[in-house]
Amino acid sequence: MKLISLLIILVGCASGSKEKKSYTEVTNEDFKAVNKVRYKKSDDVLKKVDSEYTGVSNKESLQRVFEFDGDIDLSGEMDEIASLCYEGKYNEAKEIIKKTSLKYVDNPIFWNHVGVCFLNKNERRKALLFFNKSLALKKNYSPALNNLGVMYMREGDFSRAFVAFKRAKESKEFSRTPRLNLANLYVNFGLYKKALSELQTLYSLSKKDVDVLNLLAVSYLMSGDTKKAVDMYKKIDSDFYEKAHVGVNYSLALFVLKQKNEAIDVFEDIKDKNSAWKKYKNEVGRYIGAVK
Amino acid sequence: MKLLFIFFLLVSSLTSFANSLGERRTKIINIINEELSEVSRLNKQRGSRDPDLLLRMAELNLEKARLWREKENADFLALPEKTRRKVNKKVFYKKSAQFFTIANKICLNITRKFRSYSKLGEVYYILGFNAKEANKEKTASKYLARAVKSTRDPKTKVKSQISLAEVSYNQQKYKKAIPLYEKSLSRYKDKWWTKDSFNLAWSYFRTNQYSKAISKMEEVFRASSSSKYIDMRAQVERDIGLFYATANRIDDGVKFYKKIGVNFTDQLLIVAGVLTQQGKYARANLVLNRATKYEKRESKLNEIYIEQIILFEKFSKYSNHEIISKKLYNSFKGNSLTENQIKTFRFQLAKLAAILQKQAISKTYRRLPKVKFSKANQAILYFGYLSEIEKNKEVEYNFLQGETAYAVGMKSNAYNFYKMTYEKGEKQNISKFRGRSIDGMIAALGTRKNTDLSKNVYVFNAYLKHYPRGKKAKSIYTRLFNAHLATNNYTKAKETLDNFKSNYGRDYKTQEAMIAKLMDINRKARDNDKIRVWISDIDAGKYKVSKKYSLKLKELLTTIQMEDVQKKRNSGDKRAALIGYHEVVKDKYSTKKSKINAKYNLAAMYYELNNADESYKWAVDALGDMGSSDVLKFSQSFIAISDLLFTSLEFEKSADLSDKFLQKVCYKKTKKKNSTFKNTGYKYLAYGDVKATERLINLGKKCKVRRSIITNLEYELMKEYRSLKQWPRYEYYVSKLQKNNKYYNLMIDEYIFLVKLHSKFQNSVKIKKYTKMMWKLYFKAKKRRADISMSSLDEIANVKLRQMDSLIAKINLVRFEFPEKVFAKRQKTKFELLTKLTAMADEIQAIGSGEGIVKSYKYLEDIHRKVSQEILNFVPKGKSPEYIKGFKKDFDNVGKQLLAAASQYRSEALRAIENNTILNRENVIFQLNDFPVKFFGDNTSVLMDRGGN
Repeated sequence: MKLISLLIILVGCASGSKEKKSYTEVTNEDFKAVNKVRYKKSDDVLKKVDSEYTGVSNKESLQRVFEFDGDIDLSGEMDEIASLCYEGKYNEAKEIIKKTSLKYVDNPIFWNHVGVCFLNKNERRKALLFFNKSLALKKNYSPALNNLGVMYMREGDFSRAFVAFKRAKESKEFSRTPRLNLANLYVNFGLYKKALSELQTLYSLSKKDVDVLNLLAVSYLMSGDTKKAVDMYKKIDSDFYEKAHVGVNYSLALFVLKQKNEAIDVFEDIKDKNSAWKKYKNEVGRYIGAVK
Repeated sequence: MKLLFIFFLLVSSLTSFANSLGERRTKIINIINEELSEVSRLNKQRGSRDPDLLLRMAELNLEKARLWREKENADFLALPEKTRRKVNKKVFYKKSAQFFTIANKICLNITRKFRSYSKLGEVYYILGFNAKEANKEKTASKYLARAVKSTRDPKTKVKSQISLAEVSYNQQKYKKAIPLYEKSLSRYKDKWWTKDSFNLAWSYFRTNQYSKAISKMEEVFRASSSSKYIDMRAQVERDIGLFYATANRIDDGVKFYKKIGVNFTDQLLIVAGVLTQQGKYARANLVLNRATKYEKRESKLNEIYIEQIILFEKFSKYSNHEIISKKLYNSFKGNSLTENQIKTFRFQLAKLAAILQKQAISKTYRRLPKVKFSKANQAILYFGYLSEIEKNKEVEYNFLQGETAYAVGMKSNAYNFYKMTYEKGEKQNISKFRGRSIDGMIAALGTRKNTDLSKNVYVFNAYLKHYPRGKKAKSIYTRLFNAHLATNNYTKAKETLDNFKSNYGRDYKTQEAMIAKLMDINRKARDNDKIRVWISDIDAGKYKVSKKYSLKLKELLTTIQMEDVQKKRNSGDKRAALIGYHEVVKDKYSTKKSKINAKYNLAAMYYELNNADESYKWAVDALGDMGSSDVLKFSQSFIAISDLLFTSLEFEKSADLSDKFLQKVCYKKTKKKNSTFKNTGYKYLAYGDVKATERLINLGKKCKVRRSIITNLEYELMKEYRSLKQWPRYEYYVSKLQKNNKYYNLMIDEYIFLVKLHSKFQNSVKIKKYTKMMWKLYFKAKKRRADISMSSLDEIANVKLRQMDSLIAKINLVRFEFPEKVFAKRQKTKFELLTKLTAMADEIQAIGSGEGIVKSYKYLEDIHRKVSQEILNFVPKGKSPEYIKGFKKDFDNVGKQLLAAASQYRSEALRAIENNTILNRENVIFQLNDFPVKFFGDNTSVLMDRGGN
């Protein structure tokens, strides 16, 4: 398997923050009001993320970039916080948040990052508070809505997740991540037609996005169009076949297309021991004859 | 010596004259006695039958009586007045009365016995005369009238007429007297003519015939110079002035007096006096005015003036009184008044001053200010004269001037008079009016607006000089102190404080008040050094103040300090302000208020510095000390700090601060309680502090936070307990919230969860109970058309699906068998059950559960497919092939129909899943492929960091 590397270039450091000093050391300069960074549409996009496997959401999400591969050229405190939170460096992220919170106090992007941080840390209630804070600053702010959906999704509250993704999608008509999440949700519940509708849109935007291709393939496969499914799988970098959520169904599709040996090969290359896929993987393995 | 000698001679000659008169009377009486004795003897001889002898006896007795009466009168007049008043006149005049009685008895005897007696007129005269002398005027009139009528003797007639006129005159019957006098006096002139004419003149005067009266008087005056007549000149001189005055012929009167060489002024004064006595004040004044016209001598003029002021006083002519008083005062100044005149003048001044003072302050002139002030001014003037006249009482009169002025509200004048009194008293070393004059000055100043403060200072100093611990001293010290303050004389003010302290060392309050004022001045001048001096003086015991006040002063320093800090802050030197607030907090003398203020400001400043920890620390400190009203007043700041803590990810501190804030404003009426409660609760739950949340809920109830907000937090807490697997508390809140009609729908999920939970532990009682509750809430929520969660609906649908399962089992038990009769019955039963199952599926689908819809369709598809297979596979046993062929032909059609129905159900299911976006794992059963594996995907989803393009 190809080594997935992540190149993060950090530009600048936390500025506009106030260092804590003894009161005798405080200067009048320290009292100068922090210039607040308010929401700007131009700030609400990840400008320097280069990852071919996550192409559909490179402007919106760092999550998969950290999972897959890519180059991220981060600049500013908000990017830094986001980065640290995906890296699991919560304390470092917290320090920056504390220092810069006044500067970004009215910025929904910032508080969405804080929410993401807590969600990644599995502090659901705190995440919820900050997503709500973000939404309070910008009504129907798509990332916050989407992330609420992610939170509900993780909790198994699919109805709420569906509503959140749908609202996130509707609040920003060109947003991609909510579509991707919606498609995933549809696939999970066998609503392949709906999934395909969303995925085809996303596919038109990025032909190499692993998740889009995988979900398209699954949808075709489960809808009975195995050939199309295999075509899609073939567009995915073969390194990803090692991942259960890609490799299991791909081996199934190959098996259905009577390519049993190829199916078994793919199946046997799966290295992912993701428990969520374990049971299904075994079922498929038995079905295709890869597991006894 | 010479004078004494002359006086001795005069007294001796007068005594000898009296002696000679007595001797003469005695001689005459002796002669009368001799004649009376002779006549009495003759009368006896003739047996009292000769009226002439009786008449003579009566005449002699009468003469004797007259002479004795003359003597008695002289003796009576010679008695001292006191003795005279005590004398019994009956006894004193006993002798003369005895002879009058005898004469009278004789006369009466004659009138009874000798009715036709030719000299009866003389007898009646005697009777009339006696009656007149005895003051029996009625009887006198009766007899004298008879005498006039019956007498043939012209002399007796005249005498009777005169006597009768005199009686009438005495009875003030002047009109009756006049003709009697006129008739008699024109014909008869004896020595009494002047006296009787004098009476006639008076009779004229009394009947307003002034010309006749004056003429008659002048005639009497002229006749009196003759020795033939009684000398009535003195009486005329005395009375004619009055006649002239009354006739408005004063000038003639003056001429008359001048002519006869009599001092007319004296006479006019007498006249004026008479007129005054008669109440004829205007006339009397006229007389006196005339007198002043002619009189040039100052001494006489003064006499007139004296009379005039008496007169003016009597008939209340106070303005005239003032004019004359002025003249008299000038005379007094010129030393031309006699002692008596001074005495009278002084008396008049004092009397009138008292009257005028009384009038001025009376209610009568309250609404007549001009009159009031005029009277007061006159009284003041008179007291002023009196102060000059009675030099020894000068101070008293000045004081009275002050009193008068004060009483009518002439405060400025009053002050001056009191001051004069005080100063003269001091000069003359008279202490009697010292206190009162000072009191007067204080009173006069006290009520005046825009008082000249220098006067105040003068008076208060005067008072305190003599009465440093007097009754009013305490308040005077304060007033003097205030006066010095008002004139910016702080040195003197401090001196006053020091003097007060010397005399009232223990009076903390007053000292405190004075110090406070002086310090206030220092404060306004921002002279903190002086304030420090005060404080050190107090500390050193130089001034006695209460501990409380002493502490207050120390606190004042911190207040000043606070102000300085505030000033620095406002001017932009926030660093200095920050340090200043820290110092205030550290300062042991800082007031609680200052400290609170400083703490609050520190919290705010650290907020500005984005220093959440320090801001929290000071905010909590300030909150702890502040009153609830102040906390509410600054609520925005506390909320902002709490928000800062929240955004600084200091959840515990943020929650703690807002919790403390809520505790403070608990009993205040503010909407902020609701939002603070809600935020605090969410913060507590954010870091899983269920205990704090429980406590907060109780606080919320106590603080009357809106019920729905409390319930919402209870719901969140319940969920937290569920996630923490604290089942007893979780169950407690579930059972609590299920009672709230707004939570019926939400609680269905919880009861489903509880049923599952207890199923694990096989708690059948609870399973039963909670299942019952689940259904109860389901129906309630449905009735209220509340949104029920998908999972709840699935659970409800699953129960129904289990019923479908049972029914399917029943359908499966019904097997097709022959004979025909049995087959027909079984076929009917089976189809009826299928119909029932379809209805049941409809019912489940109506629940709205994704799982219910999907499964019910699947059940229908499966059973229809199965029954269809049963039909298609069924061959009646023991029947001919023709029969079987015919039977199958019909019966297979039914089977095919059922198969078609099964396919239809599948299509419907797929349509329903797509159309309703049914998010249910069971969707997989309608998977389009025919894999033996079921794909459920995973729960992964992608986080979104930015909105994108």
